[in-house]
Amino acid sequence: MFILISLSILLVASLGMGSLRLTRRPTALAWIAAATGALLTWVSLPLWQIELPASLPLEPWMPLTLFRHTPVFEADAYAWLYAFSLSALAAAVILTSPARVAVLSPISWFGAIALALVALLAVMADNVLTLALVWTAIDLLEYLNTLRIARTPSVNERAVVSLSFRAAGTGFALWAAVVGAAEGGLASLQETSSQAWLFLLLAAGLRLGVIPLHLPYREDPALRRGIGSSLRLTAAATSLVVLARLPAGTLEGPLLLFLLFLVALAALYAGWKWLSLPDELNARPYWIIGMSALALAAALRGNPQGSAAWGAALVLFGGLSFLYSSRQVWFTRLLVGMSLFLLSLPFTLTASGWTGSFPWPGLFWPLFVSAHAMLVAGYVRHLLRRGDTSFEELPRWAQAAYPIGLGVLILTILLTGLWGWPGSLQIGAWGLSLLLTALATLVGLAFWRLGRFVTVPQEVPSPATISRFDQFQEFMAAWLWGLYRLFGRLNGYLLALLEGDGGLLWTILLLLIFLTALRGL
Amino acid sequence: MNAPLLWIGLPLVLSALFFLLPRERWITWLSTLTALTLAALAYWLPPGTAQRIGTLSLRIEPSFSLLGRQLTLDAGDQTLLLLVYGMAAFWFFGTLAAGGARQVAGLGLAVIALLMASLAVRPFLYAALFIEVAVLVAIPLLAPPTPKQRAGPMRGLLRFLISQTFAMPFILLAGFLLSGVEAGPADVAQVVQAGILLLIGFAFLLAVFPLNTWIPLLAEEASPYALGFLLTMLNTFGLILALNFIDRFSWLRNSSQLPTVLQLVGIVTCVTAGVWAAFQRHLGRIAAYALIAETGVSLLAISLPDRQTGLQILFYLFLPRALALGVWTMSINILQATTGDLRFSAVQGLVRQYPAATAGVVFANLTLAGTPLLASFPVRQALWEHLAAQSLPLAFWFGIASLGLWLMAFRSLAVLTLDSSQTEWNSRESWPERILIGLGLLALFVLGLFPQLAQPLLHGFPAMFDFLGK
Repeated sequence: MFILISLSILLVASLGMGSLRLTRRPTALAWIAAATGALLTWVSLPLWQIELPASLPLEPWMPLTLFRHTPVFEADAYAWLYAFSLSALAAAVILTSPARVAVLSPISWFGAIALALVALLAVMADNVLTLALVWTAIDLLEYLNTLRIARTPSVNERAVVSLSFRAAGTGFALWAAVVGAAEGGLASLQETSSQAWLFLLLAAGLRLGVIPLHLPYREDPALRRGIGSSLRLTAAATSLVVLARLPAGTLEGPLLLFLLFLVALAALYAGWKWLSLPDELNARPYWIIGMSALALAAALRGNPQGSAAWGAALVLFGGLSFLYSSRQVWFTRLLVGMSLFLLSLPFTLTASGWTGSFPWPGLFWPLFVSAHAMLVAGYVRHLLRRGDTSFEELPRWAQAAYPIGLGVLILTILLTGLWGWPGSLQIGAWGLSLLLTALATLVGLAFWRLGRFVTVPQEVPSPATISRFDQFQEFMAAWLWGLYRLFGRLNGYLLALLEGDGGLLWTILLLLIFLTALRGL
Repeated sequence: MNAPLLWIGLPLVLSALFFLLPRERWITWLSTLTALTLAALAYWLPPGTAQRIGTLSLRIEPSFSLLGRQLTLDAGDQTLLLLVYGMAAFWFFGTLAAGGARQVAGLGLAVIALLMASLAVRPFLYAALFIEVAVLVAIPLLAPPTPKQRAGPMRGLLRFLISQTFAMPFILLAGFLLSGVEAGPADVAQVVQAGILLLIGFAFLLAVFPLNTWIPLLAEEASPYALGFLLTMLNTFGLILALNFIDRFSWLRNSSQLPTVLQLVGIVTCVTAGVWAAFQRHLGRIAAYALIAETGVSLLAISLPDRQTGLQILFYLFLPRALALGVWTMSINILQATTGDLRFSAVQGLVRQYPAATAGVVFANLTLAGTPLLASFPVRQALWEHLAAQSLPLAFWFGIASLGLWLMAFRSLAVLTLDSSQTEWNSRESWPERILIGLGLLALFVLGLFPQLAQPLLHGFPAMFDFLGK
């Protein structure tokens, strides 16, 4: 019932915006409709708690003899946490948009609302089939949005590459369902076998939206803060929600160690890049990789609460960092203070992030704790740099809406630390969080004082800076393209034989070979 | 009233009349109306059953005698009639946007009537003859109307004729050999020979690997929309005819080798088409390979150990296939009318002038690749999982075939959106084109999200057969 209310608000808001556009009403009305819809949805989300767990009443796919699985949307506490975070992000994106006057666009507000609607469905997806449907919807929304605004062929091309990677992620999820079917069926995510688990992991990894890095928006900074943040963070969150729903402790032994090691390396690399890159938008993929790595590590340790905590923190703290474009000293101080809530201190959103233990504690704890400290230090560092504009320069109505947008995210962070899901009101690993606080402070200070550690100390608008990872990516792409062309030539030769003048004879020969093979069956 | 006269004779006569009409629009509207009426009649007045309309009792006789042979359409054929004439209405109406009404709608009606006769004729070994006549009628449908428009020697068309004509003697001969052993195999050697002949005949008819080289060739020569229509119909009727054979002969139906053979032929056809599609640079050829892959998918569905599920998958797939191919070829036709060429180099960057056609090409391709949200997905995923339950390697190869089509959809998208001039969005499509493609795409998404909507239409299909699916 309450779930339907939230979904209906978003639907009505998007329909309202559509009709306002069709009747050519002023842009301000569209903004009011979007902001009201997003805020009401955010306000309605706590009401879900009254009836959790709950499922959306849907007519199953028929006939049942044919469709073993049918779409199921089930809201549990983890789904609520993600839904609350994502609705806060949507509200924040729309409310802070007047601060980015240059890119005021009803279509981007519509995109944020539509994305929120699909995202709420995505976090409730209870089986792979449902996930595949909502993931594809999110991909389409992102792609159509990019296609609409892309101004250069390279952005168009990169958007298709990005879409292909996401689709490959969905493909892996479908393959996980197939592997599950071979093992007797995969009715819900909680029943995932270890083999299918691996493919789902791969699917979530590919769908984080960070491979290939920076693709669609590298040359389009105007889009990156608002709808860009919404798309990036929503895509990541709707992938990570799977981790909280998978059965705990599915993997063990050397495979677990290997995966943990890989994840630790990814977290360390991403933490360093997030800390060292000149601005938060260029560093955004590393924030997503770093926080996702922490979520994944929690899931691998059999700690779904921790995984959900890192996933929600990715959205909420990421939202604060990326949407904070117009700076003001007291806002900066407040947001820097919010970094305490990212340090796994008791009764905060991330308190449950480090509960549980690693198999080789001597190796993994230092790696992950260092990565975490760098992510926190990077968050603070990016807040302290000069923003796109000053808060005082904004028009009056924007000065009113902008703090509300940021406030929604802050309130969500505070509330989810105290209420609503199994990871709230937790003391967690408080000793470790104190160590983290010290370490993050040290890293921040060291970075601030010893600027020579950093390759790009001053703020340079460097969209064209190519990192080694990017170079490796370019190399891999060229190699794959070469391989494709090689196979293409081979394929062309075969087809020329079959479709050429002697093609009929070749066909008959092949038919005879085929028949001979069949005789042997 | 007589069912064969109504659903076979009448369309044949009307087809000849429509062909003579001076304006293509008239042909489109009249043929669409005819097909819709025939579908509605099949729904309200199924052949062979009495219906009361007020005080009036109506019964459409199921049989008609022709030259000593029987043409029979009974109540079991109701769903087929409904589906085929419904699909025909969709394709005929599409000529408003794609053009070529005289060929597609005028001759198409005759082709459908002849193919329907191939299923209705008893003894059914004469089916091959009707199919051959349908193929001959289809030649002017595929050949460009004027010699000027013919780019080359029409090798694809020639191979189409050869391939489909080869099917006829093999099926006739097999039918002749088998007519004495309908109940059970009296002479094992004779049955094996007949089985091989039948296999070759249907291999030609259904254009399985390696007998399908004519399809991509023809896709470069003929109108994409006309080819899409014809191949959809031939494929649908060919598969149902094959099922009729399986249903008729108990030794064939109960053969332990049949599923294996179907599985092997199906997966090889599917994989070769998927892989070859992945390297094409011509929009028409990509659609052609997608259709070949669909034949493979259908054979894989028939090969499932659970026959009922297999048939459900097979019949369900007819609908998204016809819709997707209709939208796809209509969109390709629109692009071809602009560029005159369907190679990637010619259609590059057309998205801003032809957004609906671009969407039609990409989404129809994605539909036939089994992409989530689109019409084929629920059933293809069900088939994929059933194949996995049987054999994981088989499921893996099925995935490879789908991957080839996915790749091609993304490559087509990249090419169509790679616009270096960066012109503003300005659709040059006409309103009928936009509306028809839009409706087609809407139907693809609706069926992808709610596959149960097709259930009422398809649940009657097993009634066509005496033994299969029961």
